[in-house]
Amino acid sequence: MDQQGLINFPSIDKVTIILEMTDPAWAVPSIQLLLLHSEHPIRIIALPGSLEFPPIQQYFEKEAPIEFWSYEAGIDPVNQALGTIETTFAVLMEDRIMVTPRWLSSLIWPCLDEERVMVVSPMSPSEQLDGKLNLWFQSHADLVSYAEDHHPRNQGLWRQVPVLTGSCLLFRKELINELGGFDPLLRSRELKVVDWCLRARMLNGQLALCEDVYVQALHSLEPRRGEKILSDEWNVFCSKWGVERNSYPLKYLSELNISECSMEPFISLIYDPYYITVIVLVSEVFPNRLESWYQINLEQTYSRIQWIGVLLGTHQEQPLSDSEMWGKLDALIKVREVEQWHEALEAALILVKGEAIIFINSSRAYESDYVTRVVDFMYRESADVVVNTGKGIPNLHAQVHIPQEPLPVPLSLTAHRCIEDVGSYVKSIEEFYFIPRSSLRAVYWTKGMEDE
Amino acid sequence: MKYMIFCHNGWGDFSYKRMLKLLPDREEVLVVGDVMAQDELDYGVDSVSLTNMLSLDLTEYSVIVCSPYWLQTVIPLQPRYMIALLERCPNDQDAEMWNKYSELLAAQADIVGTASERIYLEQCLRREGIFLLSGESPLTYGAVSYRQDTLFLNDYESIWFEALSCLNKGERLEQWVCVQWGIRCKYYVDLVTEYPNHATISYMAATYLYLLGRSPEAVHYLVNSFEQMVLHDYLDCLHSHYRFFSSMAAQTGELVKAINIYAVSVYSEEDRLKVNELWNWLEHGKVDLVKAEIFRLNEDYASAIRTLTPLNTSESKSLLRNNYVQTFCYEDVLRLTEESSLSHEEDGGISFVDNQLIQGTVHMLHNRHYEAVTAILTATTVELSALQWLSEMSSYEESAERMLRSTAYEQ
Repeated sequence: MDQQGLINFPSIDKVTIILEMTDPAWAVPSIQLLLLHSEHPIRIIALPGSLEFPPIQQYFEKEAPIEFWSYEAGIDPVNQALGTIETTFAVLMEDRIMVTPRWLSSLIWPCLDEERVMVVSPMSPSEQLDGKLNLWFQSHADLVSYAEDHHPRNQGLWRQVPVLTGSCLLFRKELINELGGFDPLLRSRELKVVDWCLRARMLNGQLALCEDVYVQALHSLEPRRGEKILSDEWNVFCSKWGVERNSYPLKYLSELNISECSMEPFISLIYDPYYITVIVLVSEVFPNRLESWYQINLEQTYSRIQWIGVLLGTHQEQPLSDSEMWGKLDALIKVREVEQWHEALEAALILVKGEAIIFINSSRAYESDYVTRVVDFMYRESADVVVNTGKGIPNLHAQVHIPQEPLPVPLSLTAHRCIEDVGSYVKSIEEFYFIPRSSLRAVYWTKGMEDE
Repeated sequence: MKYMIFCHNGWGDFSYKRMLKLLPDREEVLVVGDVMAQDELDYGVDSVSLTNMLSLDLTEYSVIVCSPYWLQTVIPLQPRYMIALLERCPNDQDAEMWNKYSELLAAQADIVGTASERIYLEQCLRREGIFLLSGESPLTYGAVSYRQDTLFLNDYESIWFEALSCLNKGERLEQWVCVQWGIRCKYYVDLVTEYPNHATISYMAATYLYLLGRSPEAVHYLVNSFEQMVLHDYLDCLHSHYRFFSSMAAQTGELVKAINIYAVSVYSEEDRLKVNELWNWLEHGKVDLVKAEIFRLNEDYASAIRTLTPLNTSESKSLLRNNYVQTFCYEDVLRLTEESSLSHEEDGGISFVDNQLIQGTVHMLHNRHYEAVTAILTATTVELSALQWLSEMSSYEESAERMLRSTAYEQ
């Protein structure tokens, strides 16, 4: 109607678009289409989805309104980006979304039409409930033709829906002030979005589905990180919302009575990156070799580390006063007899200030991003225990395992959260082991360590 | 990456035109024969005459071959990669010859695609690197920039694109083969819920589960298929289904069960001897030989070859060679024969005549006409019936010549 001059569309200063990037082959065309089809000025915050995500800046002009953020292990980038929004409207989008002409003004319209509308979604294959629409187009040109035809016939049509699940959501900035961000206890994106939308309804916000705009969503041939809802996470979600655990799939959430939910909807956006304690176990001392080991292995890309050294056995020859060698350590525990390892470890544990402990051993070699990767897995997978399973390419889809029986894992490949009754430490002739308490959430991954 | 397309019946009949826009690392795409000017523009291809094609260095090109009649032309030019697109036999062609040479084309190719699910499954049981170029999913699985537009890919296009990218980088295709099996498997498993009494749908679900190495689940679907077949009086399924059950047992390592099930479907004296031989191998701990032979008897040559390849006994090599013969991997047959003759191993696998005939075929495919005829004539000195190979070869060459002439005439 605005185009026809019937209603003056209020001027929109700028819209922030938070783009979660999962695949460079998707992110590039997705951003290109955002730049092409957004009728209002936009600012894109592009968030890489993993440490491995390659740079894609080279595909865009320097003046393009895109901020490419770098990936930081141990924080939720979406919550971090939500905290930077300064515009009246913002969009949270995954790179699987390919937008169509007039998509942005169509999504803004319900917010102008009804002041209680807080979150708006287009029709797309990424919505799992009301707004789900699977259409096949050979090319973007065909998609545009469809949109050009579909839009005028449905212009301005929107309806209120009980929940949204999709990959393209427009929302008001004011919502963030009252609602905060995604729940860090949830891992799958779909559940995070559902939880966020339900919390918005607790604040009397309305969720709207635009019937006049369709955006295409790409699918992955293999399950992507955060795509699959795991049973333990579903349990967390159900406990939170008082939903029956066997009520999966999500369609039953439409019947949820929000007025009966009494939790606090706000989840803070303020993040505190993980502080990690690395305990360095040195059970045999060869000064020259240890010097080079130190240089290679203690130079980590992760910065928030408390270093504690544990020296076991006789090491009179060890130049303990050498500041270059040991200056990095925040604390050093030294025992003369290897048999006193348990006492030494207990002493070290008393000094721990980090939220999690990573154990490294002088008999192994670790890559410089070892700590970063452990933190990444621990945070992303909400793991209590992270075990490095050896050489190989990075296993992006880490194996999550909740052992029923305690299972010993080499201590030098293990990290665990500092939680009560986390497990026990044992020693065989050659190796220290950690036995995590059963029922803890353990994640196994590959890369970054070699036996010497 | 440079690509060159060899159509079967000219550009007009080429049914994968859209695929040409989706080729990875696309630099140049040449089509041998005539292409309409508008199509050259639309699909970003250039036509090249047969004569001009022969003057190009094909080692720089990945060739897409849509007809077995191009083999003699393409193989001697040693293209960088050979991509075979297998088609059902056209109505105007001799089916027996078309199918045999299509097998040879598949055996020569680095990667094979086909829109026919029947051909696809047959080939998956014969060799690695086979892809289905059709499907039902309405979802979009990828996007590729093409000129000013973005092209959306469906599931099989996306898999094919990924597989070709892997081929260009010299990486293994296995991952994408499994992804496609997984997608097809899910499709049929979902379909079974909708049509629980459909024998073929259950059989397809069982087949894909088996290909994925999930025999314990596959058995359930095969039992369902078997029951439905029997209920509808299709009693000839005893042979096919029981052998499939046998292969599933072999896949899970239950070899006693595998032999027992196989024995149920055995009628001829020759097959009974085979059962005895399997028991004998099992008694002597030759587990892999039993496994491989059970696979072969169920026409799962690919699994048999995978099982036998790492083994290094004369028995295993002989079985491996049988599998290569069945799958038309003739160069591998000759390599194994040469290896065994060099090491003076006992050669129980292949006769002199068969060896000569295979040699003759390989010579012919490399366009070494004189050597091909000599090899086949040598075979006829022992077995006169080998002469029919000469007539088959001549028929093949006539068909190939006809196709070449029509391609040249288009220019």
